[in-house]
Amino acid sequence: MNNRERFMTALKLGVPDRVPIFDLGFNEESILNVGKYFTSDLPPLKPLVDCTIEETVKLLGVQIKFTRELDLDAMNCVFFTGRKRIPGGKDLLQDRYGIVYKLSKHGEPFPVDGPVKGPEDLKTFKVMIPDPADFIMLKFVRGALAENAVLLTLPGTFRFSWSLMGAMERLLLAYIEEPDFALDLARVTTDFAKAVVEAGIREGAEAIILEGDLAHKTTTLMSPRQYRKFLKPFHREIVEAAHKGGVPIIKHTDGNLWPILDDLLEVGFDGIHPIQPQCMDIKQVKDHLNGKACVLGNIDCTYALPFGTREEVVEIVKETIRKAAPGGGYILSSSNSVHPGCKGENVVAMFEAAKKYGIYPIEA
Amino acid sequence: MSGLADIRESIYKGNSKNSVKYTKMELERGTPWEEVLQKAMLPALNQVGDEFSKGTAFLPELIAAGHAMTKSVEVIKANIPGIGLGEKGVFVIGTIFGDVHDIGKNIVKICLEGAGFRVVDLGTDVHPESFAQACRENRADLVGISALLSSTMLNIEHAIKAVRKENPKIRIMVGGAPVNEEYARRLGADGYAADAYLAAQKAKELLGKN
Repeated sequence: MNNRERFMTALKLGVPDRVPIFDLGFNEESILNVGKYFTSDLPPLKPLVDCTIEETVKLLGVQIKFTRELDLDAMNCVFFTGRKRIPGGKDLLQDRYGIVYKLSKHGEPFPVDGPVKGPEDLKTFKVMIPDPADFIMLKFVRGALAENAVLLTLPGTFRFSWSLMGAMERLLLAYIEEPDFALDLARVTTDFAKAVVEAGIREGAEAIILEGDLAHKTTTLMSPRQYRKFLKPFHREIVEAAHKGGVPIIKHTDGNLWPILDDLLEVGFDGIHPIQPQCMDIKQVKDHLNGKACVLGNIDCTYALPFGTREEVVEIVKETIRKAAPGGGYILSSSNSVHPGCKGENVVAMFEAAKKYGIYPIEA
Repeated sequence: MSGLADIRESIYKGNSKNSVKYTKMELERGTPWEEVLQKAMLPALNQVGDEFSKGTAFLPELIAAGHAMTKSVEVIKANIPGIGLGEKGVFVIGTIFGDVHDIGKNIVKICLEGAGFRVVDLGTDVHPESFAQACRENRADLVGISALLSSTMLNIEHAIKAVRKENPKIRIMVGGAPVNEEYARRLGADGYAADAYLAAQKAKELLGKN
């Protein structure tokens, strides 16, 4: 099997030759942390927004290089929204849709303000249409990796909605105080997400990942009833858009998803990522999802990858494979993303161990 | 329903328009503000908080109740100036240096204000020395340090040291996705809470003001 076949086989609940490996996210710093084991020709560390075109291409080249060298089966591409620094705004960026972000010292942009505070703003809000430049990473990676599955991650209804409002708590408050507005906003952001999915598939995305956390450590952010009212029908539309394009779609969300896990399955998501080990037991999730959706993730990036030893990481990989891989339908990755705190050597150890211990047949 | 029951119901349901309306009406009727607070407002918030802890209410209900509570408190403060209403203490809060996530921190803030604390919000990406400075300038009773990224957890330790250096008696709480009770203790914090409502309860407990 080549990398693509391996990844897609597991995503479609089959048994590949070995457990597929990938990761949802690397950022500037973590690309360099991992990339240094495979090349000395690295770009300088700085936020992507400050990189020249040459530096951006080089950074992407490093990620593509270690994707090949580590034999990762898929590479995930970010949906860019044209973020630029706001002149005079310290560490503030704004994208082409009007969302304002604060940039962390690790280069992570986090929404802090948006153009839609309430119903009145929505009346005059310009319809969002994806820009061809939003898919620049996807186009580049598609051209560079012939054997690997190429994925596109985009924010879904929930994340787009609260980002446009500038804060998640504003949207959650609207679920109680202004439910009609929350639904109108979901309509706008869902139409946009569907347009992104359709355009992404045309650009060569072979699977879609819908990001936007729906849960925290102990339970879901919203009640199951609220999920069913404000998100589920919209998620169903996005899933249908992906399936209409012949492409599977994975739901990414941190946290304890148990209260809405069956709803996510009913919606038709083909995979659930990343099954945080602090919140859900991978064996229980695998048993529950068996034959319905692929399980992705679970290698702890809170303690093990940042602070553990290589040996500890290898043991966790072996244990996770033992629990989740039997029968196929499991793809290994970190329990969220390879963030800048993860040790490069531990990330390499995670993938190498998966290749060594993830060869099928794997017995329960 | 009586006026107090209306206030309680509107805060419980997270209806800030009604909580403001009924609070004004009750004060105009001559009901002492202490009675409004003790018999209507706090029981409503505690009811939602208990349901949140049991998993029968979720963040939208908690946020909406906290919001309605805050709006009612504003009504009381506007009608009866200088009462220092319900000030259980001054709580400085912020997300640690290197981390720009503020969702959890903002929800804790809503719950703290609802519980009667004056909250000084330093925002995100806060340097250890800035926590210490804000605590000094605001004569804070407590400080809450939040982190989402495990890569920034070490900065919490620096912040705790910076704050303690100036004020050894100040109460320090930590929270966020990568933090747990054991880690909080190891860092030298006085308190940890798994969610926003428990954070407000813990803050009161640390000051002996339950």
